[in-house]
Amino acid sequence: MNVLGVSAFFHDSACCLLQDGQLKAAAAQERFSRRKHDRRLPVDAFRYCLRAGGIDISDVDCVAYYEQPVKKLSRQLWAGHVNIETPGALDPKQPLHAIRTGFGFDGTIKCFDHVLSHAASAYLYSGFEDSALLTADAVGEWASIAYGQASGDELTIFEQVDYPHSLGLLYSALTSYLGFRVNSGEYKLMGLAAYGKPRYKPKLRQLVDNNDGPLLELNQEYFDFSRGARMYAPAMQDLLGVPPRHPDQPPTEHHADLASSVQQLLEEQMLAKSRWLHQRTGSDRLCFAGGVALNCVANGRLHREGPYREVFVPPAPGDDGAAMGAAALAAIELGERRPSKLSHAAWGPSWAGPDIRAMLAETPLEWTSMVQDEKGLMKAIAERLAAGKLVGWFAGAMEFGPRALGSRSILADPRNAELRDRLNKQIKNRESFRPFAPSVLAGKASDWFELSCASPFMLETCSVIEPDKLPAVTHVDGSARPQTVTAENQPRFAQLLQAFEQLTGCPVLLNTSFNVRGEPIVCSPEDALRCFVLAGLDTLVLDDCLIDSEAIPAEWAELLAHGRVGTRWIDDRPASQNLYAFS
Amino acid sequence: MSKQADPKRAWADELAALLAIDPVQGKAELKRLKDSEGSTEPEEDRVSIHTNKRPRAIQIWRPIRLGGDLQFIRPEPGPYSDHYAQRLSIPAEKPAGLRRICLFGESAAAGYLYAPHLTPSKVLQAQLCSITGEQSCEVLDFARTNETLSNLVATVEAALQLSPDLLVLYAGNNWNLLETAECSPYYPNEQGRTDYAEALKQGGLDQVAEWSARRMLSLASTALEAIAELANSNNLPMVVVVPEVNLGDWQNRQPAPWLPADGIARWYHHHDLARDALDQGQPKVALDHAMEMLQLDAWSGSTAYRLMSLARLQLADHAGAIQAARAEVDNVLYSTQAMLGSPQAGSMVQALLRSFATRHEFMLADLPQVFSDYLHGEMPDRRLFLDYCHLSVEGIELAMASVSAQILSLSGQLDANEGWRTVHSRVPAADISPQASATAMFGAAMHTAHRMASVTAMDELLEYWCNRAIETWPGIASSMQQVLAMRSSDLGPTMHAAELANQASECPLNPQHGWHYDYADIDLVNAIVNVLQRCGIDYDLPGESTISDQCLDLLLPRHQASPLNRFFPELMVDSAAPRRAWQRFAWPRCRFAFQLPMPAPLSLILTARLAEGPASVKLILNGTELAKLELKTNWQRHRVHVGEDALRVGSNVIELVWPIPDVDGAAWLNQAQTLLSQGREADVHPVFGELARLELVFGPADKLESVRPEKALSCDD
Repeated sequence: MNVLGVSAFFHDSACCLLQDGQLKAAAAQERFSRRKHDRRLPVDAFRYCLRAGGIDISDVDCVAYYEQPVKKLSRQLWAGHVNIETPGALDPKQPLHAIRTGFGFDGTIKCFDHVLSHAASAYLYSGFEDSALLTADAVGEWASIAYGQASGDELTIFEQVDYPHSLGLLYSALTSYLGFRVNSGEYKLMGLAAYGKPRYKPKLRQLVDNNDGPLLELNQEYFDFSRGARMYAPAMQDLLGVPPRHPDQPPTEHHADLASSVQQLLEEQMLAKSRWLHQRTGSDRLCFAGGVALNCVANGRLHREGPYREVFVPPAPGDDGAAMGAAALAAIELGERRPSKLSHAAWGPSWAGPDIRAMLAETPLEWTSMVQDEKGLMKAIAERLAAGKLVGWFAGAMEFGPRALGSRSILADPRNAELRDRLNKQIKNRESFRPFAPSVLAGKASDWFELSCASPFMLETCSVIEPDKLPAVTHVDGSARPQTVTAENQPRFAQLLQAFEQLTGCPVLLNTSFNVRGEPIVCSPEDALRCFVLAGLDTLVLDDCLIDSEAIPAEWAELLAHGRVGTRWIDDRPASQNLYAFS
Repeated sequence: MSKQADPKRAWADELAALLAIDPVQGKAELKRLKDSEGSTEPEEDRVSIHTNKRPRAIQIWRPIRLGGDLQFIRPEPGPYSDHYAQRLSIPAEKPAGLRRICLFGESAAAGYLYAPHLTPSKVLQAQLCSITGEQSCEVLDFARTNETLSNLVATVEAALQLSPDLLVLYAGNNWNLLETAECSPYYPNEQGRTDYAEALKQGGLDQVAEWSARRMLSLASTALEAIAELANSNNLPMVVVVPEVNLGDWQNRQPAPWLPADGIARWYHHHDLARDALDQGQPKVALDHAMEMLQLDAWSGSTAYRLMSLARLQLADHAGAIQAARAEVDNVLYSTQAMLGSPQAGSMVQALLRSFATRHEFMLADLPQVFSDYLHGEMPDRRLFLDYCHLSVEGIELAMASVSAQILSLSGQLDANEGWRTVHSRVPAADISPQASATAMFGAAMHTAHRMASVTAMDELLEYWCNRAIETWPGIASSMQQVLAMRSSDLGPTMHAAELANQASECPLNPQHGWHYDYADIDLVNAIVNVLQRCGIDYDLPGESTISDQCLDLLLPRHQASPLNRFFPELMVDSAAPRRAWQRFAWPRCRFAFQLPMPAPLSLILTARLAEGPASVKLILNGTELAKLELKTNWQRHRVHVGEDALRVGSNVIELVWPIPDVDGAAWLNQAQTLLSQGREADVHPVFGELARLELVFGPADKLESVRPEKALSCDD
């Protein structure tokens, strides 16, 4: 049985395929379309999923959609967020029409509550037999926080906090107050928080009307969620006594303090709510998903200070991952068994070595094929890393979720602080306060990090045991967000870490996503090649092929800077620039 | 803390549920509520003439003070150039004694395919200076590819900062569906769709055509009047150029809309017979069939007019052929609004420009008239055009001679109407290198192969342009070889090694020439191969560079062998536009191409469905029928094994011939009207087939059951 899961029309649309109840493929549309956080129907991800499953549309038994359109429209009507000029804006069947039209699907479409999809994306892939369920995000239909419990194949949501009360929206509102973009700048707030003191926390507490129970209310005097990207009301400035930061303004101490305060408020709230949930369910396992579950600092505290023995956060806890939850719920309803425990995130497309070599042969580059010399290849990469080179690493299937976990990564020596600065300034063109994460061989993790359990998806922070030894991946507060790597799940990446350890004694690498600012993580070898050239990386590893930047003809780099992205010309340009439009 | 009951939430829940069950009543309820709240909509922004005296940008030329002098400076064009003239800086102050002329317009006015080597502005300046003296005038080129009406007005207004003495306006080819996208049944605008439905209800597709044409003309009139106001208020004379289009060599085939009873089947039957008759040199028979088609589509389609024009040409009836070709262009522009025609000015736009010039006493360079006189009444064709509207060197010289004559008539130096002959005969030929000329000619071939939906085979025209290019500059053969390499590659064009070679050539091809097109454009590939062979020039046989998992996805753009499907939704770039993971075919035949370094057995997997079924789709490989596959209204998958002897080294073409639906089109048109009235997308013409999958799977011969083409089997998986 083939069940497709779909999330779309808000942000980070995605598609996944379950075959006989087991996950076969999952990918976000943005990776194919090259539009960050692409919200459109994920037709390219859909086509990839079919291909990965060796099927076509005639084989699909069910499409599972990640939210309930009627409930969502109700909330949008309530909030006055409906643009009646947009075709279908008042038609709650519109997402289903879009799926039928876009995918050509005539069969059954099952819709699930947004929070249930999130909860299922965690629990049904956790391998737990039972668990408490917690979801927290900005908003889905109505609920922004949901509490529940699961046992076997059954999930129950028994309490929820409804819009406009939302910890996710609170965090996003302060993200916009601090001059960062909502739905993508939340990471920046989290990174900035480590530089500040939480001296605004008492004031921020006025934003939330709270108790020890599951509910909370945002004081609406300070918010305005109808204003799109800017989500705060003028009263917010009166309360905080510090003006909003302009995006071009460098962050000051005030901003860092405000970020620290928001972050701590969120952590405290999440801890309090999870404790209530623990009391209510009695479970010592927690499955946690939703956009707030991308906050790895809060996740780390939940793990360390929360009442749970085990916490599972999936690699894509946001809306993209909700497609996986919906698909699993549908598959179970259709009589399939529950998916196996998720042990890795590499569910995206991969490219065969011969195809990559054929592609490289068509470029003007000089490159080295090291096929059938895996050891030599790993040694060569490790030597380059140890020599302070920045390496673009493209290996196997693309990750699902926002983290680069060793399939589409930029790697560097974590012992070299200068590389962090070069990465921030030259390659990623991003704020200097943002930290980079380490990947570490799982068996060596406890030698380097105060990590109590495996962290394969890089979704929680912990302390670095000797920060001076890993300056490029240690945040200002002495923390890091490690990924633990095993040979079972990521054999090639583990080999590279071993090679680096053999050479340097350090089984850790700096691992950041393979992209430049404003672009999604690379998907195809062509994307990787382009990013390698434009970002100014030193070395690119494409499967078994090694390319050094010295081999790039200068004129070629200029052409790439001006040329189109892959074959995606029509989609990505406004009508006035469309090659095919006018004359 | 406990949850409070929220009465507004109950209302929202009820309304959302109502909208799900009964959208009409739900919307009425919402409207009632909004009306009772009173309007809080902000006032619509009004377009106003800029009154700010601060220097401001003219298109991409930004005002900068250099040593006290105001200059307008544009960024350096990148390696792929851009849509603008390449002059880097323009001083705000006009040099003493120099007459300053500003030229505005679209790609035809920008010298598309020749720019920057040769442009109408350069030719105009050279012509004027050769008659009135060196350094007597300068022509500032503000024509740009993809010019829109609103931007045109803004550009004219901003250019007044340069104190021009005269304006030249050469626009109208772009005044098509992309200016009035909301008139399309596919455009995601609820009001537009309901207006379309209303027009359809009131007077059928005729009314739709009238409604959309009226809307286009209204927009164009408004823009023209704004330009007139700018010119008149500054006492500036203006030359209005009436564009002419390539009537002889450019074709605009479009499908029939839904027709009553068995109209669709009859229309395509007559179409095929008319084509056959033309091929067999029987123009009168072709004419009869074209007339049958026109009676069926109520004189609204373009295709029958083209067939008629071709037939009249065979009968040496040039006037009749021109008349039919012009009707083809007009019907492409304003018929169903489901397809996007090529950028060409129709007769309504030409008439509008003439009346505009007359009303405001502007000078008129009437290209249809001038070209007709020049060609002694023959059809304007490849002699004056490279493609749909872009002029050849000869066309540019002639068009600008007409403008020059108008300008020189101001000072009484030449007769306004006949002066173009004097200019054309007196001034030296335009200065263009053989390299640039050949590049433009090869660009014409690429454009034609990619963009021309033609009624007849286009190989003669493609080979004409390829031959002309090689005759003009043999070095263009390298570019042709590079195109062969790029068209069979998965790699994006900028990354391909051929791009570096192209950039290093004496006259690089760039995107305006179609160098970066995605499609296989197999007719171009074949034309290049034929021409290179005839010229005795070596070339590498194209071969698929990558065969991922031993599988080729023929739905990828680079396997599309037919010209660009100008089916409007696929060209729309609005993020709200519907996106499909499968393909629809609005013409009964479609082609896909792949390249083989050597024949190998393969399986073809096809998953398709029909609007009406069951019926059979015919599968043709390299001109030989391979199979008939039964399809239904739900997706059906077929696998066909192909032996290596059915395949060729190099280009292979798979053609699908879809069945003609045996339905009453009137009912389908009614259904479309209902959907549109609900704000939903709808097809106003048949979609002959839908393809979700078309893949080739390669493998060792012993693993694939190899059969000869005539014995090919098909089976449902």
